[in-house]
This record gives sequence, C-alpha cells and structure tokens, in this order.
Amino acid sequence: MALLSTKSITKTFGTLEVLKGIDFTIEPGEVVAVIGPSGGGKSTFLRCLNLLETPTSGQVLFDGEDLLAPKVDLDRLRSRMGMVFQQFNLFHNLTALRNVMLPQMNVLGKSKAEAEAHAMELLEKVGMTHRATAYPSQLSGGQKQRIAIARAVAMSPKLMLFDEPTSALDPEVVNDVLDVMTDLAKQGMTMIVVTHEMGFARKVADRVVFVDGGVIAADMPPEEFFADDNANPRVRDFLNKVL
Amino acid sequence: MKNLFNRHRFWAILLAVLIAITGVAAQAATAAPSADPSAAPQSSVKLNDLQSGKLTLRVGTDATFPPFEFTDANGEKMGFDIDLVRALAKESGIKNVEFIQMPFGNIVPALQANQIDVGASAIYISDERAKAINFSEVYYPGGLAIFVDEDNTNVTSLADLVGKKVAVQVGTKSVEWLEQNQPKAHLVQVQTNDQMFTSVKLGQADAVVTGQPGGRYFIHQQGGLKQVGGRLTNENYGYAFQKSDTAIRDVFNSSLATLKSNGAYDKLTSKWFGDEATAVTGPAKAHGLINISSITNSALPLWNGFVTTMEIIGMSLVLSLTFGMLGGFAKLSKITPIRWVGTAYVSVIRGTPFIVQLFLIYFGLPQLGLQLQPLVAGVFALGLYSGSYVTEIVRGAIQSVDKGQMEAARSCGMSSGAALRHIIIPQAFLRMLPPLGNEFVSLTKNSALVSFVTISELFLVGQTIISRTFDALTVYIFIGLVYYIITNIIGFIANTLEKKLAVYI
Repeated sequence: MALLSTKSITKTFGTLEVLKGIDFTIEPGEVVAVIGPSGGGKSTFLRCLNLLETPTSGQVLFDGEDLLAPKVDLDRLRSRMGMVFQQFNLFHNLTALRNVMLPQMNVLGKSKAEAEAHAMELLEKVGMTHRATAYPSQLSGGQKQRIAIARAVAMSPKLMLFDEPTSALDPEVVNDVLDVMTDLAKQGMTMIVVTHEMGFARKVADRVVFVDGGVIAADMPPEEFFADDNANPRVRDFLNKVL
Repeated sequence: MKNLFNRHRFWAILLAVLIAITGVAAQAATAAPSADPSAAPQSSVKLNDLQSGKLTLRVGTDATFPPFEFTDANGEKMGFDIDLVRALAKESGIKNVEFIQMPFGNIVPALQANQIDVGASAIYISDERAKAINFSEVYYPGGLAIFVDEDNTNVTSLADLVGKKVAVQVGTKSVEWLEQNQPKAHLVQVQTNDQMFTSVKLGQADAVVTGQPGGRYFIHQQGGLKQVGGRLTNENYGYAFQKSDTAIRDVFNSSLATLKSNGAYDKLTSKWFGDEATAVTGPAKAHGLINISSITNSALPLWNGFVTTMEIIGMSLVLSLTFGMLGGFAKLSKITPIRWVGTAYVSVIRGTPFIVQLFLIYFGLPQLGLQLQPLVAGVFALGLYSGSYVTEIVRGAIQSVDKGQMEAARSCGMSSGAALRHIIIPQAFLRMLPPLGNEFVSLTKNSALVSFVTISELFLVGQTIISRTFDALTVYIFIGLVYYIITNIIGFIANTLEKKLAVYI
C-alpha cells in the first residue's frame, strides 16, 4: 500500500492557481526527486503534503489516514513526517543539541536522558557532535542543515520531506549535506526531495517527478528522465537549461 | 512603618485589582466596611455604625491649606479643621476618624461617589455646592481677601485687578466669585494653596485671591506678601456631607453648638488663628535656595511615599504585562471578534489621556456602583494604560519572529501552544525587552499622576511638604532625582536581562 498519496490537489493563492490537480503516490522505501522550473509549484506541492499549506481542494492520504478529514490529529501525523527546509529553520534560541532534543521530548514524550542520547547518536551520524552546544547563529549553513536533518530524523519518521535543502548553501558544503541524505536513502528512508541537484536526482532517486505549470508533467525513473531521447519537449527544454 | 518587602500587602492589593477586573468588585466593595455604597441612603444606620465603631468616619481634606489643614514633618495631618472635626466626632460619639488626603477639587465628587463621609477643608458654603452636597452650620466665618507682593503698590483694591494675573486655587470659591465680580482679571488656576502664594512671589501672578485666614497664616509663616483692602466677601466655612446624609450632619451641628457653649471651640480658634491683626503684613523671611532640611525633616513621610510609589510601580507592572500579553495575543488571534477586542482596547486606551481614564475609574465608576479604593483604582488605571502599549510591543515582537520557526515546530508535530511556549515567545521576549524597558520607565513617571486620586505616593508627599515649607525647589529636585534613579535602575535591569538572554544572537 502506498505510504502517501494525493488525489487531484489544487492550491490557489488569491487569483493565482499554483497547483492544478496533482495525483501522486509514493511507496515505502522509495526516494522521489521533485524537479522543475522555478514557480512551477514544486515547493507548494511539498508543503501541501504535511499541510503547511492547506490544499484548496483534493485529498492527501498518509499512512492510511486522510489529512484533510475534520477531526484528524494533524500533530500526530506530522510527527511521522520529517521536514527539512531551504532556510534550515533551526530554533534560534536553542543549541544544536537542544534543537534535536526538544521535539523528541515535547512530541514523543521521551525523557531528557533518552532524548539526549538519541540526539547525540544522530549528531554523530551527521558529523556534528563537536558543535552540539553551539547556537544556530554560530554555525555555517551546511552545519545547520545537517543538524536540521538530525532533528527531523530524531522523530523516527516514516517519510522525510526536503524542500530545496541545498539551495541556500555555499557550493563547497552542498556535498556534505547530500552525503547525509544519500546515507539516509541507503538506510531505506522514504524521501520526497524538491531539488535542483540533478546529480543527486540521477544517482539516488528511484523516480523523478517533473512539476511544471502546477501539474506533474512527467513521472519516471531517472535513467528514462535524463535520457537524451526523452520525448517530453518541456522536460528536454528544462534539462537543456540546467545541465 | 510600611515595609518595602511586605508581600502580603502587595499581593492583597494586586488580588483586589484582579478581583475588580473580573467584575466581582461590586460585591467585594460591599463587603468592605469602609466603602459601602448601599449604605449611603440610610444615613441613620450609618451613624449608628459609626457610633458603635463598626465604621470609620472618612473625612476628605486637602491638607495643603494651613492653618485649616496641613501636614507636619512626620506626615501627620494637623490644623483647625482637623482638631475641630476630631472634637466634633468625639462629642457625637463617633469612635474612629480617618483623614483622607485629596485635591480640593475632588472633595465634592468624592462625597457624591461615597468615597468619603465628610468634606472638611475650609469649604465655603455656597448655593452652587449646596445643590450637590449638604452643609453643616457655619463653623468659622471667613471671606475672600486680596494678597499681593509686599512691594506692590499698583493693586490696592478689587478694581485694580483689571487685566492683572490673579492666582486662585482650582475648584475654590475664589474662581466663581472673581468670574462674577471681576471678570476682567486673568485667572491663573493652580492646584495647591502654596502654589498661589509662590506664583506671586515668583512674579507669575500679580495677586492672590483666597480666604483671609489662609493668606494671613502664610504671611505669618513666610512673609513677603501683604493683604490689600478688607474682606471682599462675608462667607462662611461649613463642613460638607453627602446629599443623602442628614443624620451625621445633624449630630455634627448639635455637637458644634455644645463645643461653642462649653468653651472648647474658643480654645481651638485662639490656638490656630491667634491674633489676626498681626498677620496683615510681614517681612519676607530669608531662605537658602536649597534647604536640605526640607528633605531631612521629612525623611519618614518621604520614605513611606517612596515605598508606596515602588508598590504602585511593581503592581501596575505585573498588571501591565498581563494586559499586554492578553491584548497582544488577542490582536494576533485567528478569531475575528477577539481580534476586535484587542484592537478596541489599544485604540481606546492609547487614544485618551491617562488622567481622564484614572478619573473615570475613580470618580466615574462609583456612579455605576463600582467603588474602588484609591490604590486599587490607581494601580488598575496605570496597568490598563501601560498594558495598551505593551499589547503593541507583544504583537510586534511575536510577528517579528521568523515564520519558519513556527513552521519548523509544527512540522515536527509540536502543537501551536508548545511552539509558542518553547520557541516563539522566548525569541519574542528578547525583542520585547528594549521597548518594554522604555514602557516601564514611562509607567514609573506616570505613577506620579495617581497622586490625584489621594494616594500618598512620592509626588503627593512632596506636595504636602511644600505646602508646609514652601520650598518647591529643593523638594521637586529631590523627588525628580528619586524618579531619575528608579527609571535608570529599570533601564539597567532591562539591559542586563537582554545581554544575559541574548547568548544565541
């Protein structure tokens, strides 16, 4: 059964129709790269999946539950979906370690000791134990993003959403973050990644979803998507510009 | 002596303020024996309670008018009215008497609002006043007279006041009488008795028109002024009572007759007025510019005033933060009516003068049956006023926190309440600190205005000292200095706290 699926979701801001009906599914363990031109609706689509934006119409099913049902416990469902932002959004007033600990304690009800042990374990994995007591303002972008990933992973989510996780980073640290994401994918994490990193999409993703003009214009394995003979003219046009 | 750290009193008053807010105050006020609006119509019942000691006779007076009523260096009220009211109460079998300080102009409103039972403040009996209150029989004959600088030769009669600046105390008979009998005089209306004489000495006014006994007492004490002409009017002083009250007034009248016949009254008049003829003129007495003794002689009342001021600041600060938090969150609410409430609060309270709000709460609400004690009214008004500014500070600070912080917290599964508590409010609080520091400095300075509702805080204590010593320069410099130190301490605390909390910036 699909871990997450959407049925014809639309999203309108004022008179601007950003999403024009998106049907999408992802199976457990899959890694999906969402790519496409700026303003095509990629980020809005991703933000509709955990209801940071409420779709104007349509349906979002996650883990067998309808996110838009009237009495759904949204906080509980969101805790099973990790989200990583372009601007990191680490909690400014907390140290790196506390950033990773707080949601575990507050949402999962873990004890301080449990949360701290788990947080240190994850900081180790992303190579950030040496900066555990630093505040976000004292960290570089790449460091912040690795801690933000640790914060999301600490909740043991079933699905991770990445919203252009490397777009705000200096080129030399992009790979540090992509390495962490690649490790996660290898461990079997289900991931939806909005990205401009074509190399990552080609090497790590199981599927590439091309969002353009508010619809999914292509959905196929990366080898087909990046093939020189891709028949879709919009995809060819896009790839010619970015590659 | 009041203790700065008397927590019981602090919390008791704060509790009273909170009770008032939740609307239970009407009942609370009824339960308080000294403030019972429902008893007002049945004055004989009240008299019985006064005679049994169940109630205390509340006497409103502006103790800045020697020799009728003034305050000595220890903060004790004294003077002819004080002695006579005590003697009359004793003669009438009334056990407990309490004198309450208030500006002269507030005495009639305070009677109407049942905040006092008697007005004893050298009040002239007039038809106009008699419409609002009841008067006793005449207890002392008085009359208006003109006083000028001892070197002034231009003013010798009422006719000479044309085009002259004449100092009068606001709310007194002099105002009304001059408007009718010398409309061409320019009235300089001042708040206190001593300010009338001081303004002539300083050249801010050409003459004073006030009661002859008070003017002569000033000349006797301070010199530098002289009386010109005889009495302008033949008025009489009476004690004022609530319109609904006849029982207390009647028993006062009969007691007055008794004291006059047994010689007690004559003893008091000679004690306080002596031989009036010697006081018609007198040389100015030498004063240094700054007299430290004006402060040191009144150290205890000044300390008490300081403690009261600190209590007022502390309590209204707690209230202001409470109102500000509620208002700020109301303005950010997703629910439209709640947002309206927040917007209306800020709009109304910020859009009207603090002094109007204070008077409305203290003098206006009693007409709706909600009677607040002066300290409660003052603290409530200050907290309400300051809270409207804090509302905007809270709203602005919360809105200035990056939207991504809330999104990150919510996408981890945290509730909006948890996100506010752990993430948004701690960050917003740091941003609030500098403007909050400014706002609490304003609150501290505004606290001097609650002296208008008879709270003996620092500023009012200063005024009463000046009414006795006529040393405005020293006393106001000293009081200004005390406020300056308090506001700087608040600024220092805000700065230190900001530095301490700003570790993550």
